[in-house]
Amino acid sequence: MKHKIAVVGIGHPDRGDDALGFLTLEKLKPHLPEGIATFSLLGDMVSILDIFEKFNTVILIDAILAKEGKPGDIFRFSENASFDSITIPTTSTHTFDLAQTIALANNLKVLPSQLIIYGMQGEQFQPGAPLSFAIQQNHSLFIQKILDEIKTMT
Amino acid sequence: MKKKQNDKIKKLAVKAGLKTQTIKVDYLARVEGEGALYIEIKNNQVKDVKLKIFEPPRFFEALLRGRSFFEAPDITSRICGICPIAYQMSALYAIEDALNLNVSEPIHALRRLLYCGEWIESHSLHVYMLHVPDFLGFDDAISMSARYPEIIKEGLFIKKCGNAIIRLLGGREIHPINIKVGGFYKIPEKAKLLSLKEELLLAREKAYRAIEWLGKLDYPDVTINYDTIALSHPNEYPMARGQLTSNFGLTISAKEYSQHFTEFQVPYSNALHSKLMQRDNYLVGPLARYNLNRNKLSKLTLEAAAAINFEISCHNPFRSIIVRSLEILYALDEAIRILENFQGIEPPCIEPNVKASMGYGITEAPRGILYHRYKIDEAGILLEAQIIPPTSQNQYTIEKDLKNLVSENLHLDKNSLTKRCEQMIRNYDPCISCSAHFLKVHFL
Repeated sequence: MKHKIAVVGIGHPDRGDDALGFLTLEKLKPHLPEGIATFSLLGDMVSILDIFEKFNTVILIDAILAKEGKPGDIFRFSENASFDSITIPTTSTHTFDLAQTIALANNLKVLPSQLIIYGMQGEQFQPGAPLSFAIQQNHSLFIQKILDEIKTMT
Repeated sequence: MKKKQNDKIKKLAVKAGLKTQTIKVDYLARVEGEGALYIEIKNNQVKDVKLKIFEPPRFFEALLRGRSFFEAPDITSRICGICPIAYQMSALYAIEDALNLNVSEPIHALRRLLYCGEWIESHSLHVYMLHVPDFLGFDDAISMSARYPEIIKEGLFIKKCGNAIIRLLGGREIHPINIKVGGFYKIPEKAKLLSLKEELLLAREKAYRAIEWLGKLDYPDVTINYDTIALSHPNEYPMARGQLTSNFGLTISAKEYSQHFTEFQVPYSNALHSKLMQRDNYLVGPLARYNLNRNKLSKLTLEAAAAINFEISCHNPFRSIIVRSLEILYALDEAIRILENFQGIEPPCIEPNVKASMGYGITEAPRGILYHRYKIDEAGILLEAQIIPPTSQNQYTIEKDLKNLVSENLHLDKNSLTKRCEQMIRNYDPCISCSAHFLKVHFL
């Protein structure tokens, strides 16, 4: 039997704006309603497929590079077609990035009933870099938007 | 006969417009890390082949200097997210060699189980996600998954089983943290190890079936008589122990490695090339392991090979995908055997006596032999480190194979020839991030 809601923070805490997913999840955790599962994913995106198979609703949080967007812009995607307009930063050609993993999940028919991606336009992804100023400025608003949506689901 | 064939190829090449051509692949896909391919053809002759590894150098050998020997396994594991255990193992065995530390058989066995986990996850990633699309006519695993979802699902299931072993024994899937010089930090309970068994049995069935359908695919008809190098051990298919052996009579210890092999730099690559001092290029990896150690594979693995009439010695790099799949089956079979026989380990670790010394370690990473050498001072500080990964050892061979491949396929159109070259590179499952770790320092 599938569980209800999972929130997944994606990204590495020590790679500049790539830390967005990880840091946002950490800030969300104390405020999440009971019964919501949380996961942090640092590297292998393919393990998301397991989460997709176990939950009805999955909310992914990640830094993104939208074709039209400036650092700190907030995006919400919930239709598969809208995923085409984004590029999730990828660090390796050996493993799949998020967009590829979603495409794979779609072909394997393991997408959850509801998949939502919250992203902010990133700017710097170097190892050891801090969050960019633009992301820091909008981070509280970003967290609040996600929390508001989760509260409407429970 | 050969001359006639060559003339025919040259005529076809002219027809295909390949008399003078440059093939450039700026970013190699479905390999780990950042590399490019450059081939220059002039007057129907291959003039130049360069496998350009432009992934930046990563300075690990310098980073290790001044650190405690205890840190070497965890620092070197950061060289690669796909095969961190290989780095940990070669570092452990090299340092334990330096300190004359002989760990117990149960610790060797548990480390072997961990290594099985890495072989399973690394090989299944390559076979199912990166390599098999070449043979089924797809650009990548995602497009392939629409037509063959079951193959991809089975591959992902097998990979997950490898990851589960690493997570349980290593503490986490990527860059595990539970092994140390002298043993382990913590030994899992037998019940926890046995909890993996059901899924490993299922994965083993899937891996067996995969060999059946892989055996039916069409492979380019290529024969290359490589000089092959792999570990060999009297009692086991090689992973972390044994002598370095070859198909031309060389049998040496890890300590003698530098007397027979040399590294050299080429201006277009951030990875050093390797060659045999008295011969030339050589091959490491699954084909070399299989050809030198086939009789050490498990009964089930040999049965699977026999069921598809797989050759006793394989000289076709395009068929390395089958050898990798045999090794997946073997690693699953071996993992089940080890966890069934596990009786617990007490204590989990033996303490080393520190002394000034030099140590050498070679283990079999999924892609082939991985050499580590460390010089330690009397306080246990690393004075020198040398790491030679399998991809940089194979790089020179890959270039030679590409040159021959292009020469024999000049009749193909540029697009087909480019694809064939990329496929040839993927036969070696190169890990470019690993190969670009080196640093040459000139002291004034």
